[in-house]
Amino acid sequence: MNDLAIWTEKLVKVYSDVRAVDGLSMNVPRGVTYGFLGRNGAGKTSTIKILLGLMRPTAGRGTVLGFSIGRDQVAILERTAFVSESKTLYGDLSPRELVRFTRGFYPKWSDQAVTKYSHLFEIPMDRPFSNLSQGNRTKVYLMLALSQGADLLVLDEPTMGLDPLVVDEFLRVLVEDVVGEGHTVFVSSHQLADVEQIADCVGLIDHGRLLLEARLDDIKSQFRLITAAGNALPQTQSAEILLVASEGSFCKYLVRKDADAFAAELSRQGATIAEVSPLGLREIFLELVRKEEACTSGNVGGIAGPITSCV
Amino acid sequence: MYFWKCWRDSRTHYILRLIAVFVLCLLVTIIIAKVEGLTGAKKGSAGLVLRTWSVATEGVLGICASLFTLFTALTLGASGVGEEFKERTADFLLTQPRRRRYWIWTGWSVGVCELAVMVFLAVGATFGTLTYLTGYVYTWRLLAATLPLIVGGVAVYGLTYLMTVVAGNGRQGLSYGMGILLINLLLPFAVYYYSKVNFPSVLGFMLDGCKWVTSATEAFPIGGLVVWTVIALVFPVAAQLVLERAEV
Amino acid sequence: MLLHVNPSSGVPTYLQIETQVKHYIAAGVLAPGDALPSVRKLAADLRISINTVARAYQNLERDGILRTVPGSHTFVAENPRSLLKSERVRRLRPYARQIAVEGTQLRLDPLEIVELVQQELEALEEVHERSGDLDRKAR
Repeated sequence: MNDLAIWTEKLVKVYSDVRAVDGLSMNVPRGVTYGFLGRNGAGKTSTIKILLGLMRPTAGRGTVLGFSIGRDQVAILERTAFVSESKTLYGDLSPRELVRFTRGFYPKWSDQAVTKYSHLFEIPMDRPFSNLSQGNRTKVYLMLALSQGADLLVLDEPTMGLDPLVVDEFLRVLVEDVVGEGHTVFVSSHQLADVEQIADCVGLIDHGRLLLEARLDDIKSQFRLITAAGNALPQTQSAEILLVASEGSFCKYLVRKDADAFAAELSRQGATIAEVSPLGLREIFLELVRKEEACTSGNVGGIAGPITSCV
Repeated sequence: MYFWKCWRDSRTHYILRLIAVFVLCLLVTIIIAKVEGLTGAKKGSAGLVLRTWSVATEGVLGICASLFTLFTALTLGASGVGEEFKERTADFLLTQPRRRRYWIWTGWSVGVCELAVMVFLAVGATFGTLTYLTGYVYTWRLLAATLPLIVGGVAVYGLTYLMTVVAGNGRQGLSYGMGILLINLLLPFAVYYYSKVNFPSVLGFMLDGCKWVTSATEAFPIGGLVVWTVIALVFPVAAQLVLERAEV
Repeated sequence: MLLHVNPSSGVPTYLQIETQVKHYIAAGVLAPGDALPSVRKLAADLRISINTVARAYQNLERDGILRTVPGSHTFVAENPRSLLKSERVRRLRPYARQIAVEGTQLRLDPLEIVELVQQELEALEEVHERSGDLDRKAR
C-alpha cells in the first residue's frame, strides 16, 4: 500500500498491433491537482480506462489510492469519481432520477452537494437527459461526480461544452471543495490554460509514454527557451538541452535546467544570447511533442526519459 | 437502484403486454368454451367440462400464452445490460462500485420476475375463466404447470440476454436469439421426419406441462424441468463471464 | 485583497504571489499586522492550486515577511526578524546578479542599469507616501 493517489509501473496496452500505452510509469501524489496532457491518440483515454477497470492492461501494474488495479477494482471505484469523455447517461432519466440512481452506490454520497451544485451550475433537474444541451449534460455529470464523496476525481475533458462562466465556477469548486478537502484531482484536458491555472503537477504523455512529469512550478522556474546567435553553436542534444530550431547562425534551445549556466557557457564560447525566455505550459507542450514527433520519425536523436518526478 | 432502473426501462412495454396476455387468455378461453358447447356458467356434463379444460389449458396456455411469453422473453432480453454498450452508457455503469456480475444478475432477475408475473397472470386469467364457466378446479396442477412455462420463458430470455451482452447491442442480440429460438422450434420437425427421434423444443416442453394438467396418462415433465432450468441458468452465468472480460 | 496572477506567463504562480505581497508591503498597502486571506480562500478566489498559495505563504514566512498564528490567519509580520546587514545583502545579491546579467544581455550599459533601479526605488517611495497619506486621512 503506497501513499500515492495513482501509481503505475510500466503499464502497457496493446490493441492488435497498436501500442496505445507503452511502458507508462506515473506517480500522482495525494491532495494535488494533476494535469494529464497529450495529443489525441497519445494514450490518455486508454490509461484512464485502465485505471478505472474499464480495460485490462496487457502488461504492467498499478495502484489507485493504494488499491491494486484489477484485483481491488471495486474498492477503487467506491472512492473514485469519474467524468468520462463521452458524457452519455440514460436518455430517458432526468437529472433528479439520475441522482436517485447513482446515490445508492455511494455510502459517502452528499445530498447537500447535489443541491449546491445543481443550483450553482443551474441544472434543469427534471428534464430528460436526452433533451439536455451538451453543456447541461456535462454539468449533470460533474454534479454526480462531485456528490460522491470521492477521494479521487478522474476527469476526462470536464469542461467540454461549458461556457467560460461555468468553467470558472467549476475551477473554483475543484480548488475549494475538492483539493481544499484534501482530495486529489486527475484531469485530462486539451484546455491547457485551465490546467495551467489549477494544476500542481503535469504529466505529458505521447505515444503511450510519459515525456514529462513534474511540478508545474518547477517546470516554469526551470524551463527556458534560449535563443542564441553565433558561429560555432553546439548542435548536440542532452537530457537537459534540446535543440529545437536552427536557422543560419541562430539556434533555439529548450533548456530544462540550469538555463543561466548554459547561457553563460554559450556566452563564454563567443555566442550572443538574444533571449532567455520562460515558457508557458502550451509552449512547453508544443515543443516537447514536436520534438518527439521528429524523433519518432527518425530525424533527430531521442529524448531521454521524463526529467523529474512530481513527488 | 439498478433493479429499479431496469424495471423503469421495461415497464411501459411490459405492462401493455401484461394486459394483452390477460385479455388474450380470457378471450380465447371463452371462445374455446363456446366452441366446445358450454352454454352458460357452471353448466355442462363432466365430459364436456373436462374437454373444455383440456383444450383450454393446451390451447390457451400451452400455445398462446407460451408463445406470448417467449416473444416477451426475446424482447426483454434485448434490453439487458448489453444494450448499454451501444447506448454508450457502459462506461458510466461499469464505473459504479459493483462487481460486473452484479449487473448481470440484477438485470437478469428483473426479467425473471416480469416473466413470472406474466405467466401467473395468464394462468390466472385462464383458470379464473374456466372455473367461472365450469366450476371445476385443477388448482394445484395449474400451479405446477406454471413452472415449465416460467422456466421455458426464462431460458429464452437468458439466451437473448447473453446474445445482447456478446453483441453489445440489443437489436443484434434479439436477432441472434430469435434465430436460435426458431431453429429450436423448427428443428424437431425435421429431425422427427427423418429419424423419428423426438428432439426437445422449448415450446414442446412448455406444452407438456400444460397437457399434464387435465391428463390422467401424461406425466409431469420433471426431466425436462431439470434440463431446461439448468439451461436457463447457464445463460446468465455465460453472460457474467463475457461481461467480466469485456472492455469498454 | 487585490492579488491577481497570470498562470500562463512563464513566471511560476507562487513567485507571482510572493512578488505581489512583497510589493504591497513595500508600497505600504499592506501594513504590519494586516491579515491575509486564508490559503484556501485565496486559492479559490484566484482559481489556482492551493499548494501554490501555500508555497508562496510558506516562502514568505520563511523569509520573515509573513507570520502564521496556528489556528488563525496569516499576518504581515510585525517586527520582521532583524537580520544582519550582511545576511540581507546576501539575500539580495542573486537579484542584483540577475539584473546585471539581463541588463548586459540587453546591451544596456551599467549607468543605465543603475538608473533604472533608482527609478523603481523612487516610484515605490511615491506609492508608500500616497498610501501613508490615505492612512492619515482615514484616521
